[in-house]
Amino acid sequence: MSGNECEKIRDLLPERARGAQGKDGDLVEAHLRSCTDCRRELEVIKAVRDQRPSVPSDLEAKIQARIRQGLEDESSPGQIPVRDDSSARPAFVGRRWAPTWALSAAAVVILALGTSILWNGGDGDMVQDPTAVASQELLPESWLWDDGMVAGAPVFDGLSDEDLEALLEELEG
Amino acid sequence: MKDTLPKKQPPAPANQPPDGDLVDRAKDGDLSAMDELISRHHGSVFRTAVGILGDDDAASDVAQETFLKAFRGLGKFRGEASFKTWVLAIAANEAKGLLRKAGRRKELSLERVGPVSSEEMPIDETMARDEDTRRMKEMLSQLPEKQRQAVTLRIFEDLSFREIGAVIGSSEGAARVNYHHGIRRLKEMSK
Repeated sequence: MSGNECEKIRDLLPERARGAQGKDGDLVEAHLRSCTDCRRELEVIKAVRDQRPSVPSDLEAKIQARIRQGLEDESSPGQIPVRDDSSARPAFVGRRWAPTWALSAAAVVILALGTSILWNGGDGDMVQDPTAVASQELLPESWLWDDGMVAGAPVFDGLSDEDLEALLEELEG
Repeated sequence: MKDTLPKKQPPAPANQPPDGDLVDRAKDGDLSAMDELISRHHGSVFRTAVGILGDDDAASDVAQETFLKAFRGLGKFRGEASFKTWVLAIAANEAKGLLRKAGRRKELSLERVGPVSSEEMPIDETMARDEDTRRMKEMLSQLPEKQRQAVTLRIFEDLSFREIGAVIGSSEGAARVNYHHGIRRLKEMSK
């Protein structure tokens, strides 16, 4: 049995283990009939699949309650009320504009960064790991909306392009 | 060059809006959209946390915090990955953070036996099945963390290698290698 064919089939075995028949289903079946090693791999994958943890039946309700609690905690009197009709906009969702203190902090950071770039001559020596960048894109930084809101950290990442433009205009004006 | 994930919309349940639509509505504060996203993905989030923590109660807490953080940070979600991948990455991060805070590292709990409906099985068959289950749990717990995560995310959650890489913080190629090494070790151990 050719190694290349086994390699291709092995990528499809998890799908086969859950009983799905993809477009290559016939190819997989034919291969399994003649390849002992891939048949064994399929058995291992099925055994792993049997270990799939069962989800507590009350978890969904617990999470929903936690979200609503989060809304109540973050909505102070006089601000956005939490309503049961599911139409309230939670205080924590989709902040698109930074408060005044954040703009002030942002101005300080811009000046600091600009000074730093000028000081280093902007020589572009910085090399960024694309994997790290991708991870940053995916993983929200909790301090931005947890500790950061208390500690006075800037919230640049939460600003849209339009908001950043407006901020720059304000700073320049 | 920035490595971005392709825009991927997992198939929505029949006659249901896709995740992307629900995310847009959730960004506007629509609680019913949030509830639907929770309903679709809480199982995957829980299993991902269990895989790292090996503890149901801790995984349950992580699942709650994960969704709270996800909805708080929804303004930063640009749709470069699917919502599922994004929320699983948050869950993995939360679970690892909890481990770091606790200063301990637990393997998959041997007490967490998968769904075995043994009531209608003959006793011999039930015992054999339980023994198989126990052995596989032990073998899984012996895999290095990234291999175990790659294996369980691939087999439990049907994620692509690219998605697995995004969740465990590696490249697509590394996720593939971790998965295949993990499966090969399981095959060797089960001989």
